[in-house]
Amino acid sequence: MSPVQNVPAFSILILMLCGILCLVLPRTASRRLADCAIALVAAGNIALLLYFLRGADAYIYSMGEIGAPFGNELRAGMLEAAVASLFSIITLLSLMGGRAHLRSDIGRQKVNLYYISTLFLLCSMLALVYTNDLFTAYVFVEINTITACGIVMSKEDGYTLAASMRYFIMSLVGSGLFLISICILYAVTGHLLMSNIQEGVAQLYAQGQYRAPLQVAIALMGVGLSLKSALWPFSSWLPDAHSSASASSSAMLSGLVLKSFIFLMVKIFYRVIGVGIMRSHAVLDLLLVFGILGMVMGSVNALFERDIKRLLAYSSIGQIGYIFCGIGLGTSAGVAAAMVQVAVHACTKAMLFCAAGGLMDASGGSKKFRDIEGAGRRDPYAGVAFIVGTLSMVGIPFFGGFITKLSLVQAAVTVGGWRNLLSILAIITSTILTAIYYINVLAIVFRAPETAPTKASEKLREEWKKQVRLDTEYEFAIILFIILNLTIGLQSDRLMQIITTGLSMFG
Amino acid sequence: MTNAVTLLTISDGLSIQFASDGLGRIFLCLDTVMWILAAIYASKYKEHMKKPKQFFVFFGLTYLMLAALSMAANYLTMYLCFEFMTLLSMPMVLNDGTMESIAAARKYLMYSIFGATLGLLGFFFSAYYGTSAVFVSGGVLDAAKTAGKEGTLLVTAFISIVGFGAKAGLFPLHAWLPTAHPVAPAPASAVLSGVITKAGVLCILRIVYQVYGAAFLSGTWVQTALIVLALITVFMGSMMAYGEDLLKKRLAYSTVSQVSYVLFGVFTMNPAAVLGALLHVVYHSIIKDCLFFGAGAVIFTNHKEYVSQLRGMGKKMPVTYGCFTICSLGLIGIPPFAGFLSKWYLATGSLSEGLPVLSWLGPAVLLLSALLTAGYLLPISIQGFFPGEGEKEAEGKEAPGRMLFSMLVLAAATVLLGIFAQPLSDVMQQIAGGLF
Amino acid sequence: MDLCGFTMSFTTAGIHGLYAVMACFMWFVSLAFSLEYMHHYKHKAQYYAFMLATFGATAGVFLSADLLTTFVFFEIMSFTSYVLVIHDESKGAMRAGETYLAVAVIGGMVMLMGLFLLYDLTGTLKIAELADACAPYAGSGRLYAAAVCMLVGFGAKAGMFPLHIWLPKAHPVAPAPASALLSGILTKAGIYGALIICCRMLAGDEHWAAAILAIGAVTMFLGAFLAVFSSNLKKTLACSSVSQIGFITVGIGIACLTNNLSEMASKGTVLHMVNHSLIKLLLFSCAGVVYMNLHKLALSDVRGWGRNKPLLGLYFAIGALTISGVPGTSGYISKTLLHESIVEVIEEMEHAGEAVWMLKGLEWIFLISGGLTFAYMSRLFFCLFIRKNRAEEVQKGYNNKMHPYMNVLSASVIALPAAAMLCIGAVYWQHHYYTWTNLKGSLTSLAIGGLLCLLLKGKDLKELKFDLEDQVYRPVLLKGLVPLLAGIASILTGLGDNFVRMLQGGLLRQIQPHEERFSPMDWLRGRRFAQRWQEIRMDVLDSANSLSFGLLMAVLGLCVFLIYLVRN
Repeated sequence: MSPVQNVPAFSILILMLCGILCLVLPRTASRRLADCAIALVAAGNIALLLYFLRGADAYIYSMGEIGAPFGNELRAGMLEAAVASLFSIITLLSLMGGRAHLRSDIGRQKVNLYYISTLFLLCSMLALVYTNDLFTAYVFVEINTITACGIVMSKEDGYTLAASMRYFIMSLVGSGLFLISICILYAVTGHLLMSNIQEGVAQLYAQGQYRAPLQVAIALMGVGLSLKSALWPFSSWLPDAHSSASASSSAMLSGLVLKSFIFLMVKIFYRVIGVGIMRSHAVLDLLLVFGILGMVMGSVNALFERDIKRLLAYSSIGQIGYIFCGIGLGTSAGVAAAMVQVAVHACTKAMLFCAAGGLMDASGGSKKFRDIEGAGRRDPYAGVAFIVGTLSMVGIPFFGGFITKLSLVQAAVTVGGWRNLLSILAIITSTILTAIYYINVLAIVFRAPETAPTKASEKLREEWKKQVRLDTEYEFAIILFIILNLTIGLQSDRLMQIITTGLSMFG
Repeated sequence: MTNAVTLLTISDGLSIQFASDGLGRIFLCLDTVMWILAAIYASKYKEHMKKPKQFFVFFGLTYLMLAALSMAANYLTMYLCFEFMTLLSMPMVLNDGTMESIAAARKYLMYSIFGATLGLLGFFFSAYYGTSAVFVSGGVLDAAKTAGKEGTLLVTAFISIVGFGAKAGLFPLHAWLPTAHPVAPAPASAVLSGVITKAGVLCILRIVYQVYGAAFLSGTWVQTALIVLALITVFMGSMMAYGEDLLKKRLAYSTVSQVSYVLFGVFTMNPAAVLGALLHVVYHSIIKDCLFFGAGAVIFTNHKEYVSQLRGMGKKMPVTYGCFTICSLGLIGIPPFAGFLSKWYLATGSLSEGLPVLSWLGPAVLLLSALLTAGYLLPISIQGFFPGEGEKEAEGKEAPGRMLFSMLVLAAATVLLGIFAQPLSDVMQQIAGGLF
Repeated sequence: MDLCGFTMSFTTAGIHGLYAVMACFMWFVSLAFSLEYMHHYKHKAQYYAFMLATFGATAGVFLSADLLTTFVFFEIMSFTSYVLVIHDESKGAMRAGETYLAVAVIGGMVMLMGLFLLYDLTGTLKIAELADACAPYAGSGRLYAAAVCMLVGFGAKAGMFPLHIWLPKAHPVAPAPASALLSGILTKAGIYGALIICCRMLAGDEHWAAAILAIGAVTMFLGAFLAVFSSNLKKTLACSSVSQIGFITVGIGIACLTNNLSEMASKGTVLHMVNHSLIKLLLFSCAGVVYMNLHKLALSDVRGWGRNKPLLGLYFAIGALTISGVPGTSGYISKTLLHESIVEVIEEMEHAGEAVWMLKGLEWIFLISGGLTFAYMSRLFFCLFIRKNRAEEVQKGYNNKMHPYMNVLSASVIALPAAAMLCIGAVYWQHHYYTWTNLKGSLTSLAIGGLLCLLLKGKDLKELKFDLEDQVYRPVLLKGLVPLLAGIASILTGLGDNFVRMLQGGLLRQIQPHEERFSPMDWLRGRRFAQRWQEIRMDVLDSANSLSFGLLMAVLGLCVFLIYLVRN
């Protein structure tokens, strides 16, 4: 047992511990503690990933040396390690990128609370990634819900509060449905550890018993997790919540929180229900169709937006649609494509939200298009980040977006039939619409104010003329984000490799 | 294509490859020569531009991408180069910085990217149903895999060709051309019209002959539909040019029409017609570049943009107008200037291919368009040289030397290639034959 | 040799060589005359340059041995002669040049289409091989299509009805030596092509021959008719050219009808071509002399100028007599040959029992046109050389022989065609040409002409108001066809853009402020409703962001999941 195998458990524990410590520490100290903790966790998970890349196999880690079926288990493989490291890195970068806004949005007194929420949020995400026990998953799902709402709510603004309440309620509905499904599964199989449940389910399927309850369980689990990961039509809470939150919160929510639930869903499909049954399950059709609708509806709604953060939020709905489309195709190639999109979208969307924060800063705090005209010139880092983000979203080769679309289409082509046709049509439509609204944003953001008439008010124009003071930390974060995006884009075949190998040892 | 060099492997089956074959070499030579002449021209014209540095940067980068496109050995590389070329040539269009040029650049970008996305569709299917990623004359489709799926493949072929045709100004995706070419500075208009449209033609050539193969496509509804689209464009472009007063827009519409001559030949899928198409690629590039240089010279020295303002200008700018006239005659298709031979081969190829109705309708539309070409180009020269007694004559002076140099070289080429057409014709015949 | 991408071939056999020599001769005379004519004129360098260029092109046309070479030089010839037509740059000249160029370019393009069709049909364009190559396709639609297209092109250059419109306008405005060439030899280039079509491609085809004869008849009569009513010296000569082309066309028609077997038709045609070239050279040079001195061409102005200029009178008389076909002249020979070839065919057909009323009608038109020719030529002659000018002082001025009206060089070169014609007349002074039957035809013509002269004596005839070009071609093309086509084209062009605009609604409104804010919904609903619509839209949007809506959507989704999964 190599020492690095302890990383999953210890990451979770360290984060929890530091979260509690932040409660009592003063502001600057808690900030430093949070940064260090997250950095440490990130390093640890990267080490774990390297360990797997050197050829190790997935392993099961029992908590406290109590064996199954009574103890708790973690399971780590290449895919989990990759996802965990990515989550940690992005959390760190989001915090760095949105730090300036924390000061202004949240207020000095409550900044600790924010760090606590963030640390617990990351802890719950890692737990969801690594856990092998269904009930633990539920517990951390709840923690995730609460902390996610927490980071939205911490910006005390009327609009934000309303949005976060909506988010909270819908999220709880989702968790509730998830809990019901766990109950059904427990009732039917008698176990809570994923591997045990899988055996039970396989047996039941073979015998043809309890078909209806199992179907209901799968349905409820699907809906519950879809509610939390913003599959259309369950996504109506997303635009408000993500757009009204502070910059780093939006980045984390859009980039990471949604993905953690998707990861959980995939994990449940692979390890609870089992690949054999999932291959031809009807729920995949539903996920595919709703994913496609999400792709299209998300982009269509984004077209008409005049508020940059809402536009990014709707764009997220569209991109989540891609993921569900990939899962819904039913092949391992499809799931691989979905995972790639998870990685790429996490990086890109987080970067875009941080950059949006920067643009808002350079425009006197407003999010509306008419006010952020030309902001790309005032805050060049945000401008470049937007360009990189746009190129990635549009699907230009050498940026991450290309490989996701490519792998998704390839997966679709091999499936054939109506799924193939529908997916490809949806991808094309959605890409075209995405291109349109992102390029529109670029045009607005880069407009030279002297040459074009603008609708911004006089007051705002005065604001613009003020020298924009950019945070060094923010600049640094943006640069790192850009480097991360480019790396993922250029090394996309490595990424594919990691994901495919990871998936093969996943189930 | 043999000896493809792999630059980068993205993943299994996806790589960036370059190779050179006859077709690519021809396009590369054409690009290079035109770029050099345009650069010489632009070195003087830049005094009229608002942002010369930006212009030259993207001018060079676009050439790089075009060269890469000519040498692209597989679909993915070709698509990549196509996309980048669009992105890199767009700043040339909005060099002026006026609202109009920004809107025009946006239109260019939208149409081109939309077209390229449609073109990408063909890639997925060719990758799946094809035997080789690299282009092979005669098509790469695997007969066993495609059996029964011809319908789908024909649809995708049609969509991809129409998509790449956006860059070549094929109806219905031609609308960016008459908007973008006039607002760009003259050297940019010249290369956009003369060379970049041919990039679209090259992509279509590759798809038709080296991905799907002429045998697969000829005789199908795809061929008929494409020829109809090409003929519509030929007619429409000339007709719109006939009534247009803004000189550069007139030339832009003329490009729409003339490039579809080439596409007509490509879609007819007959060696003679393809020969005519390839010859017209060269001829049209030379002629259109010279015409745009002339228009640019008029704008540069005399600040006049509309044809109606140019009465008697020929007497003040004899060399410019002389080159303009020679190239106009070539474009109309008057022997012995370059331009006649390509029409000859296009028409005889079409007639000998024997498609119902289209075989004679095609040449008829081409000749109608030639008539309209005479109608919109000759009056410029005539009113320039012979304004008529008592008519108000325009004030002006001759263009500077460097600009004249480029124009003279091209006009001389028009005459020489027209008279001594055999060498070029032989080379093109070989290449055309090699595509089947 | 290999030029322009294909092999050009030349030959000097038969008519090719003959007309090449004619070209040389005519250019020589014209250029020599031009020395004096252009002495005080503008743009001399341009004139001489394009004269020589046209010479080269015309020689190329005649010497070509395959149709593609012919086409190349034909096109070059059209363009270089255009510059000669508009040499004056006056309004009239530019307008005439426009017409000329339009007809030439349209004709050229249609001819090219014909060449395409012919090449596709037979695989060869060599003139020597055409007869054999076309024989298997005789009577087929494709051959007719090719022939019609080619005839349009060649016929336009020759001046056959209905494409003769450019002739009466272009020839008068060009400088006189150029007019001589335009009338004399460029039209023959067109005839040359028509000869190839009729006598090589479609020889022996009855329907085709009938069509050609009809065209020829109309042209003959129309040209003469226009000439009678014209009041401008050069215009009369130009219309006269049209008429003579008609005669030649009739000859070609007969040759075609008899499958080249009628010797008289062939000989008559060629002889008349030569004659006409020489005649027009002579007459236009004389007109040039008049213009050179007076700078006027209206008949009322030049009246009486030639009264004391016997040399000029002699030249003019020779020309006039020859063209009228007075016995003793070469014109008589060629007209008689043509006439007799018609008569011969009539007799043959009567023997064979076929209907001959059409050909008899043709014969009468032939004779009447000949008469009209005599009428207008004698009118011209009388006007210039016999009558006195209406105004006394002007006449005095004319009688004044202060300066020589043409220098020695001009006088000698103009003598050349006159002499040539007299020689031809002498050569053919053979018995069988002067039999009573033959003379009968000529005298009939002359009688008709004389009658007409007497009738119209002294009357000043007004110009005809009806101008085919202005009243039919231009309106149909420029006001009818072109706007229609332009409308279609603009709809097509706009399709892509309008579609995009419809799709994007008002998306780009804020970034393209100079564009109109076109909201189809507003337009459909009217201003009043537009606001209500906006309110409804805002309400819908607001409610879409509410929690209840979200829950509703979620529940609907849940139902879909459950129903679908439980059923499966």
